[in-house]
Amino acid sequence: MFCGMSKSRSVAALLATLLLAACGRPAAPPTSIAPERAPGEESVIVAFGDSLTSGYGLDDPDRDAWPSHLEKTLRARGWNIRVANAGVSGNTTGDALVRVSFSVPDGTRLVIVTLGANDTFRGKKLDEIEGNLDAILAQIRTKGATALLCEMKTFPNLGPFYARGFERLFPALAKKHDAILVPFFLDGVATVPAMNQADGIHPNPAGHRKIAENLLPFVEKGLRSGS
Amino acid sequence: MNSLAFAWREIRYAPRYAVLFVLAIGLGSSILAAFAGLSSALEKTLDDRARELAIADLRVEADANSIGLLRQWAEARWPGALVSEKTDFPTMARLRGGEEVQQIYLNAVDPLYPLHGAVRARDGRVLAEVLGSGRILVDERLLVLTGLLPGDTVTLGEADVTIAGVIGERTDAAISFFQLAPSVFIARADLERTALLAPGSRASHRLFINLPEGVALDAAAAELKERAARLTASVQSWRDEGRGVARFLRNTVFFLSTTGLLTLAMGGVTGAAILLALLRRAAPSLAAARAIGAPPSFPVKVFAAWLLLLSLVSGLVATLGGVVVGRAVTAGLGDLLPTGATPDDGLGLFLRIIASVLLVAFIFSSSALTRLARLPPHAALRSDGASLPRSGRARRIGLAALAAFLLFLLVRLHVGSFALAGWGLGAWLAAIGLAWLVAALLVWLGGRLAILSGRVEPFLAGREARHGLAYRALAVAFLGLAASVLLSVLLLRQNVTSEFVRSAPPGSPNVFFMNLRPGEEEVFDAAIGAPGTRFFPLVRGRVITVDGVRAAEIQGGTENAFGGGDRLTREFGLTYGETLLATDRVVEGTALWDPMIAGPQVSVHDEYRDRFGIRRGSVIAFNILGREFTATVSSFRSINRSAREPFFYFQFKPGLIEEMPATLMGGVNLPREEISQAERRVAAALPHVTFFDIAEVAALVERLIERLHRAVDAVAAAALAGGLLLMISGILVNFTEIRREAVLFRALGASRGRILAIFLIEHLFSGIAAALAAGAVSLTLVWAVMTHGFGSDWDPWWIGTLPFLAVFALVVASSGLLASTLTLRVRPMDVLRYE
Repeated sequence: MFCGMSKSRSVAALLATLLLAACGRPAAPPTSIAPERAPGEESVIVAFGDSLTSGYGLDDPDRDAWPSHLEKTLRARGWNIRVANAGVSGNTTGDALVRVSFSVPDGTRLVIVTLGANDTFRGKKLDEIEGNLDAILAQIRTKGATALLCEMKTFPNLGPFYARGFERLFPALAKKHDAILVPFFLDGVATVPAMNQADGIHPNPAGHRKIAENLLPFVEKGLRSGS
Repeated sequence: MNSLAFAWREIRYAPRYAVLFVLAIGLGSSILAAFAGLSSALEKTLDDRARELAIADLRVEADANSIGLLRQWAEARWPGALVSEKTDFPTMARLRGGEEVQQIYLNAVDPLYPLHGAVRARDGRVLAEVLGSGRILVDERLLVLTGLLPGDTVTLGEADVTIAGVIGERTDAAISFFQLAPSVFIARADLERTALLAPGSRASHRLFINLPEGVALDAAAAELKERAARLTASVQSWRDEGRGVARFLRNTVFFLSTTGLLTLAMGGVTGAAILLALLRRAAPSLAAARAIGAPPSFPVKVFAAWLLLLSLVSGLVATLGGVVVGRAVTAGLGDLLPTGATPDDGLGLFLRIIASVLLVAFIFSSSALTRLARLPPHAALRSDGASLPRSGRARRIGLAALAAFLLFLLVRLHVGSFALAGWGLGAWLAAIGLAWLVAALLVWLGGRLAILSGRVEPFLAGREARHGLAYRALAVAFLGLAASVLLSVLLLRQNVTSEFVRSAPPGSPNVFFMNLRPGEEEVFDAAIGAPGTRFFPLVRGRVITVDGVRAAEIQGGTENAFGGGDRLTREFGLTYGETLLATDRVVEGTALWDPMIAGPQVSVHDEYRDRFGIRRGSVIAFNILGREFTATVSSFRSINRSAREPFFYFQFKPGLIEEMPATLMGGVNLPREEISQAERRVAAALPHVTFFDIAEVAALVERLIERLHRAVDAVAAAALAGGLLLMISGILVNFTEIRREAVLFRALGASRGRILAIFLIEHLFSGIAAALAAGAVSLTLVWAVMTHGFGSDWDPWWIGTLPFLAVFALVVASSGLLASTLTLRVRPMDVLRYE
């Protein structure tokens, strides 16, 4: 809630926005200039995903992975938020299902689900992926947290039949669980060499910053909706 | 009497010397000659294997555009070069035109692929004969997992293709060691029809080049690397593929070379020892011949003839031995050797061996022969071999230098490497020096202590020992060297064998699995049909801080033990368990867990202690599955990472992470023919489990190791025989001296019992001194070979080394005593007549 924000915080948020704009990055949507929730008890967001979340290959994932950028940006924008990095490299939706109740503690406000890439690498069946994501989203709901389901795409080499089926899963599941669907969260990162490490798959620090930017409006939407 | 007849007379009068000489020189030369023939063949095989593993002389990995540019450049730069391209990626095959899909790993190749090695169908057809016009060659796993049959059609992208064959043999598997999906080969010409390659596709593009004759590989590789660097492409030549199995093979060749060198040196030293013993025995006769008018050159001519005759016989024996040993080793190595490669066993071998034998005989006898040239006629009045005149210092140094140079050339001739020859010669000279130094010190100390004891027998034994310190030390050093050769070969064999066993212990897993969930163990065991699998709990986590310092700020380099990138901030597989894993041992800390530490404990791989400065008692904060925990370091573990077993940098004490949602991982050994079916059953019962089949590569390694093991044993046994001959000759050298001492004691009125007591103390002491010298030399030598030559851990093998040295000391003492007993039968007057 904008009116509840201190003067210093709104100045910091404004400065952060201007700084981002000065760096050539798009500014956050106008509706997100300031949080609608007053600072108080720290809220927890869980970044629940795989190597794209954990910061695989980064020298300092605690500083450079997108959950850190997101936390800094949210704090700069006045949110009293901690973003827990619960990314585990190599996790499929099946691996993640086993640990969801552990990685998402009670009281978590928002869970950002970025899974599915490793399932396609390993050629998992679509119904298996769908079942796992379905169960993960159900558990998140049970915990009372808002889910952001990040849409994932497959590589063209996996074939059009599989790709179409995979990409159809996300909107349907988001709708079923009343989750916020984030359209392809690697937009502007995937296939852009300047945003990726040498392996061409994992984002570099610049790529992680871009991911945090992509996620920011949806996270703020989720925070507002859950407040 | 001419010199030849005199030499023949000496041989007839002392046949045991002749037999020992022939055996020693013959055995040493035959092993080296047999191995020298095989060594080059083995080296060639290693190179061929490395080429096959690398697929071509040069391999480039880059994006599709860069590959095209580099191909154009390479074809223009090296006209006549063979060039091939490969594009590979995982994809989903649609089965039977329906909804069912199966992941495969698609390899799109052109007809020349692979440029080294082969990919063949089971019916023997090569790739070019199978592929094209929509036909594919598939891994049998695909058929087992899907129920498809040859002739069936699958859909790849937009194209329908037909299974035209099943892979029977492929030498290019090493670059796809951990492929999870069954391999499928398709012609590059058919790839376009599938439309699977589009912007954003994740594929590997490789270019393979075989250079035309006359183009130097290293220079070409450097040129290509320079060109490729501008395109962020990576270039490897087949020589870069020097890891894993190739390292084993090269270590084994090194072991065989080392053993060959030892055996050669043993043969030479034994020959020299026998010559010395014979000289002592024959000196009176030669001196007598000089006294009745023979020229000064006569003794030299006699022994030159003696050497020539016995060297020719040794050469024949060595040729025969070389053929036998060579055939045995060839049979043992089996298909490690290129087809048709056998050691020379014709005239070439004979001539090489004769040349080696003459050279060895000359090198090791030149010093003694020059002494003979100065033999004065009055030496006929003494039977003491030590009375042979010594050459001048300058002459001795010159001869030693010439002998060392010739020995270096000889070793170079056999092992084909100047560096190895230099190291071998240096090590041998250092061993002689060390043995002499240790022996001299011990003889002096022992003699001093014996004299101070105040008892008659030790006093006399000690006085004897100190009387001719240099000579006695030489004799002890000589025995010590013989024992050190035996012990070194045994130790080397033990260490090489340990390395084999460490790398492929019997029953090592050939299949690995991950992502099994607790409670599914029985289902898994039933699915694979092999109960008793060992499961390791696994939770992923990251280090956040160590003693409050952020992990990213702790510097520790980026190279791990496998030569790959590594950092403390990466994710780790964490495990927990009360006890040490079979591959681990605690190297710091009283035990795995410290009872004095309150709260969670973690034991850490010692590599991280050394690289990142983590200490016992350090508090490490972990991010485990998104939550933060701390644990105190209780101990450091060394891990044998050569074994094919899972290993863990961090092992927690139960009480912290077992409540976390762990998955299980592990390995199991299955018969190769059952693996595909087991994988199918696991996929059906537990679809989330990831299955790694490394059976093909594991079987290859095990087969190689078994054969190398046999070759090592064969060569070690032959070298041991050489060492035994050396010991016998060492005792023979001393025989004359012992006899003289015994007679003197008897003439002075000592009883037989007292003489035997003196000899027992003296020989026991010599045995102990020689054993200690042998221990010092062989442990130093084997340590150097294992750590610097093999680049491996070494094991002093105390359980074998100490009993060996104890038995050796007893053998020396008892054989010396036996020789002494025999001398007591000699009438004193027969000997004293010459004094």
